[in-house]
Amino acid sequence: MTEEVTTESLETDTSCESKESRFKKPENLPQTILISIIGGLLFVLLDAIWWPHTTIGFFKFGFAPSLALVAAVGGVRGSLAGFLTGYIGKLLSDIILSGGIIAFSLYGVAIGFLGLVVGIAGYNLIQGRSLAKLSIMSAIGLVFTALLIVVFGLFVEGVAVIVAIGFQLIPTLTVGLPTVILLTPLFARLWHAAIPSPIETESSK
Amino acid sequence: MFQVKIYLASIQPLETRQSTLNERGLIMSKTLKSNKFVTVALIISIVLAGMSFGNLPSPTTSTSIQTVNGVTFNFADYRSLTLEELAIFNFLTNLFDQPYGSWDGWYLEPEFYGLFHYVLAFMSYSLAMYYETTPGYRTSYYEEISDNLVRKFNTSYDDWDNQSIEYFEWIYASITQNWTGYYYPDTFTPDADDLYTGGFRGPANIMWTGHYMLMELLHERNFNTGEFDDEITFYMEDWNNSLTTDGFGNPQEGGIWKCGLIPCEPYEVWVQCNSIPIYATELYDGIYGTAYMGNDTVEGIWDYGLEFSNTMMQDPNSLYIDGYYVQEPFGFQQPEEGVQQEFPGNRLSPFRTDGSLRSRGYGVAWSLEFLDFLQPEVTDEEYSIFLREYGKEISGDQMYFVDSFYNTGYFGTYEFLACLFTLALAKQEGDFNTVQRIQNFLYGLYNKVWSADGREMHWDTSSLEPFLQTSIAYGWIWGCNPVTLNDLVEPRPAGFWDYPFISQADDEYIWVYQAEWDPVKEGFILNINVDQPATLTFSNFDSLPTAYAGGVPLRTLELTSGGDYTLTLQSGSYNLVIM
Repeated sequence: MTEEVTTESLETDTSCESKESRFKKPENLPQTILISIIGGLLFVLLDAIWWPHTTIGFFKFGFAPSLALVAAVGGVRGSLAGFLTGYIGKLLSDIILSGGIIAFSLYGVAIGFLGLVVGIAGYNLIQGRSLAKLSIMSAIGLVFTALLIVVFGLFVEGVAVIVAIGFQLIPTLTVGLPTVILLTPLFARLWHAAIPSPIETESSK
Repeated sequence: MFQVKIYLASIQPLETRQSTLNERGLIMSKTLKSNKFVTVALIISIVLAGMSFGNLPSPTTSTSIQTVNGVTFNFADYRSLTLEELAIFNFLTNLFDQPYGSWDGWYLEPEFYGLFHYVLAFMSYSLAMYYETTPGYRTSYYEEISDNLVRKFNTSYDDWDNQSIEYFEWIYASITQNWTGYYYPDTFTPDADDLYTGGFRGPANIMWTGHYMLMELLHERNFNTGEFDDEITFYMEDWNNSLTTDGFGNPQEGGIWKCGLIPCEPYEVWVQCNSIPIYATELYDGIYGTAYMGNDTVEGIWDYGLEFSNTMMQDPNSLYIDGYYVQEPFGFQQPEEGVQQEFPGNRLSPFRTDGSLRSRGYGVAWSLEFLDFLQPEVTDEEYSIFLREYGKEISGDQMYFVDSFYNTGYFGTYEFLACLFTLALAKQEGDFNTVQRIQNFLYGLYNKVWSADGREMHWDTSSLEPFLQTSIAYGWIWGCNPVTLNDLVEPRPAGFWDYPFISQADDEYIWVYQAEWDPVKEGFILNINVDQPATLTFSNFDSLPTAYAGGVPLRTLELTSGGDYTLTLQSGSYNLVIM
């Protein structure tokens, strides 16, 4: 328990499970759901916090750590966990913080899609290159999320085009992209350090 | 596996667990340090967070519970202003530090001339809510702004030319629409039987006379100066004449226009515009002891019009429609296809050809809000319908309101207005989720700007529309302040003007969050922050009062030669009970 932790040991640690293993192991499903629920609750907590920001017209700058959480869960635990975290989190957040289900919970689907896209790939959370890949996948996922929000806004909720662009697309991108690109690898890396995966546990023995 | 590990960790001895935590901390520390990508991401995150750090919410007003002479005062039981509301008011005062017909800082452009007088009117109503929150603080600082606002609203073309409200509201529109040329009922070939209705202060401009009278009335309600009594009564009698006679002195059901309502543009009536004088009439009755709203023996002057609004001027959702033509306007063009407009008749929607009636979100919200005191059951029922028909969900924390549900693809000035009016309506209905979500929508686009001395604050709307800056500022008070229009429609309680109050103060050094006399407990509540040593003068105390802080005497006030009492406070925050 008291063995020295070295940089070398971290760099040689291949702790992240492959994407296949996440779904092939039947015992992972309840674990995935449990993580998703915990992630969803954390999402609500992060959503409830008022985050500083600054604006220039429709361009809003700041961080939305709840988005990075969804992407990080997707990156570490896979697509299903990522999607469920985003969906459950947004659903709970709307119910608790906004008093109801918003737009048939479709905005939750959009947020969950971020985790789903990020979770498609596998990552070695030790290597910088893999973390960069996580950032890129998060950015791609965020773009899909933003587009889905706009689609749901326009065609389900029926908001005006300028609202969809000015109040949904642009702020989601200007806040979301820096958030997921920068915070997702940080969250994933910290998570990995704080809660070692089963493989790490076994290798450390 | 990790649950098992967490479980095992929980049953480890304390020193082992501590060691494990230290180990984890070391791992996390090394985790961040061991990877250049992570390090760079962390640094950039910190830099970006620092660059975008702004728009922080202000702290909530601190309150306390004190027991003085066996009487307990819980400051949380009394209404209070917030730091932001006070700073917004200080910002708005700058707009009045100029002649009545000058508009520096208002960002007034010709495209907004027709809306501008509404900005003043609703600012007045917002500030009336603000004054009502601290009814025991009535120095000239507040009273002069209230008075100034009324006088700005009444700037005439003779005195202020094309910088007058008369020009912006009536003459400018008349250039293209000839409002000054109207007679009723025959405006095309008028004779002695037709009543002239084209004057700015005439009977058919309720969108100015209604607001003007209510602004004066609220000033009287809040400050009791008596300076506007004559004008107030003049308009009250003018409305009575319009609503109960044919305009020539002969009784006529439904009044001049036979619908029990008064037009804005001389040929058309709106429920929202008439809700203002209806509200004002109720307040007038309360203050002056009249019965224009009716009682058990007398019919109210607005009864016919209210019935007309609630039966005739309705859309299929039982929400108020936008406009009823009492006569055909000059130059009216019938639609090229579809149902033709009737005169008199409800106004048709410009977005449909099937005879659908015109609807507007701002008008419905406005009407429901101002008529709530009179028919709360109607407001309660229609509010949820309104949310469903006009509300648009952008996200969990944001929503906005459309101007017309026949034209949801558009977004512009009237959608902003629909949001502003719904803000106060939702507050009045106790729907604070909706209040919060509209605020997030309206205010999320702008940065808060605080003055260097920290005493003023506004939202900078220049990147989108500078004209909105004033409305966005007082709109915060309109939506956040604990006072509603239903509170203001009641006159001051009996004996109010004899209650102790702050009549003079070093206003520029203090922040007054709470100030009111509790007539039951016979103590004055004062929640104040003092920037620099400041003196406050209290009037109406019967005997030498003492200020208590934390339930113990702080100091006894000093008697002045005029029979008032002064209290000097050093810098700091105080929750005081003065009795």
